[in-house]
Amino acid sequence: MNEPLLQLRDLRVWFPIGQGLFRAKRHLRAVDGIDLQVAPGEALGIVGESGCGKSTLARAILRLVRTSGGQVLWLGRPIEGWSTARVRPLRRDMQIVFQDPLASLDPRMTVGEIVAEPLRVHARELSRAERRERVIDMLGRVGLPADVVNRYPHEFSGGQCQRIGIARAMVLRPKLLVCDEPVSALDVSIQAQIVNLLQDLKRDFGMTILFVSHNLAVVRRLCDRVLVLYLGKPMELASTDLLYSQPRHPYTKGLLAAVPVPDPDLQPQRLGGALGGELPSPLAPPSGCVFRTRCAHAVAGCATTAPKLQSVGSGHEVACDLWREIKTSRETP
Amino acid sequence: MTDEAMAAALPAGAARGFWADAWRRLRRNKAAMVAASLIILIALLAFIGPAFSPHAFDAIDWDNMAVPPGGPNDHWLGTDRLGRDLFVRTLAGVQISLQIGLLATLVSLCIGVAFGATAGYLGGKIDNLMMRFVDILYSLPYIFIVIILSTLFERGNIYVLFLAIGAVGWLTMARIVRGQTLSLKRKEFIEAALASGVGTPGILARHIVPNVIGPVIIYATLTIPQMILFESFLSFLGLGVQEPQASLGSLINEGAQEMESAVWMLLVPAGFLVTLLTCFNFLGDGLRDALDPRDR
Repeated sequence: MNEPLLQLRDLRVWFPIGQGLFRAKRHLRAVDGIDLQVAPGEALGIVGESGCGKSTLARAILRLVRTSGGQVLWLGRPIEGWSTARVRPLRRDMQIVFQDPLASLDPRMTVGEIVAEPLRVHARELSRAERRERVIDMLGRVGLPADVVNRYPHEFSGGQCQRIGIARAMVLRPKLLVCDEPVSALDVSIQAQIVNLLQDLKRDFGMTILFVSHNLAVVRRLCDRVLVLYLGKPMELASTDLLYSQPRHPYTKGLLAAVPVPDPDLQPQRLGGALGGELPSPLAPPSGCVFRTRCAHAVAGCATTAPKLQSVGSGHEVACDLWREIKTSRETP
Repeated sequence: MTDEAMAAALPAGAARGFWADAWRRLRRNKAAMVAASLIILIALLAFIGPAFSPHAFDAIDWDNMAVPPGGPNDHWLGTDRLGRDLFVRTLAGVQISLQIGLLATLVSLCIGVAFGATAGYLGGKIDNLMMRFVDILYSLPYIFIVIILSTLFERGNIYVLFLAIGAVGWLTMARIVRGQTLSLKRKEFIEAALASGVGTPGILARHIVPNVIGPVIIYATLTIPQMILFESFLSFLGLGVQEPQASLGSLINEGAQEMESAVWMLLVPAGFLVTLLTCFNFLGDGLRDALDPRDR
């Protein structure tokens, strides 16, 4: 493996909340101790339920939210505590695509201006004509005709807006593209188009993709490895094949069981393994293993010690101390 | 992937921006369009009208003192107590009132937008500090400040006075802009700009200000009549325009003193003032309807 493009060491993002005169300071632990290495050219999926810290993790990597602890290493260099000005050159290599396609485009700007904005910051040497050329070229690569440059975002459909957002993110040819639920606001048919587009772009430009999603089918299609998050903590990390064929963590199994199957005969038996209960409040996470309150296999010991990610095979890591016992209980075909 | 189908799915017709959209809606609003035309008409009249009259605004006609309109002379709207032509004086007053209204509004607009956008975008302690400063200024009596200002500056230099009034009158504008900015800065397109490495000044100038400009224009349109009214009020009190200069307020003041014997001296400037204020308010309302994003 080459030098990792991106490394996270015990990364934490805690949001202070409810800080009043008579109340103690509390924290919402959105991201709580993530260790991760991302290799160049890899597509890593980050999955989990709503509110598990997926988006916060993505934003913390891009320094769009303040981290509370741990380190982000970009090409081996820790970038924590760098000033905005010092980080700016790095932004050329890390870009983001957002969930809400329309909200991520400035309604007062034309599509041409929107896509050209990163060039204005990072490629100042380009003339107006060169910039326009780059913009039109990029728009073409995301499947939009050149004449869209003079139009405004509200004239486009969600899928088209997302293409514009992707064009803006890719116009600088970044090394890392963070996709924060890029397809979850789109129609199913459009979702497939956007995923295909991302695959095409990855093939052409070879960028690394961090793909945040709660859609397991989409992640399976696009990603090489998958990280499963629950309440800001890592549950399981494995290659896509292993994760989908041999999930080790009870939470991962639950997530996979919850994926709808278009076969009414199969559906009931699969629902048997689905997750019950509610996501606990991230303000008061359970002691020990955060998943124990919803885990069918939980024992008394789960309440005392928080399991760390441990290797269970080639590149397959699980944060569950009972994975050996659980292993036999359900092996997905 | 079907790029051709995609291109075909694009909306047909010319690119239509936000402003074209707003303009179309404004044009459909009859009251606002009539108001806008009247304002333009009065402004044109105020600036070129006096050239058609044989009289100057401060020339005294000893033969025709306090004559009513429609008399056998060329004072179309009569004269005042000193025999000065009321038509020309009123138009001179409209000129001054309009200039003052626009000037004071422009000053309050520039300061208010810059201050409000900065406070709202930076947030936190800085925002707190800046907005408490606004609260303190708010609690000072306006008229008191103006009276102090008018004694500081040379009397009669009404432009300096209104530059100063504009500089005090930006408070509401700052609050409006701050509120808009607070809701804007959570939008993803601001995050996208941050992720692209756009600096704070760039985000304020390229993203925040263009997006708050709608409410700002509405409020500015409603500020102009306020400023005109305020100037009239000051002139009425004798703090504003000094003789022989005329403003609508000072003319109304003079007219009010002759109200029982020569009512036209009050009615002519008051008619212009009321028409102007009504028109600005209608236009402001029309702009609000045209620019309000909730309507889109």
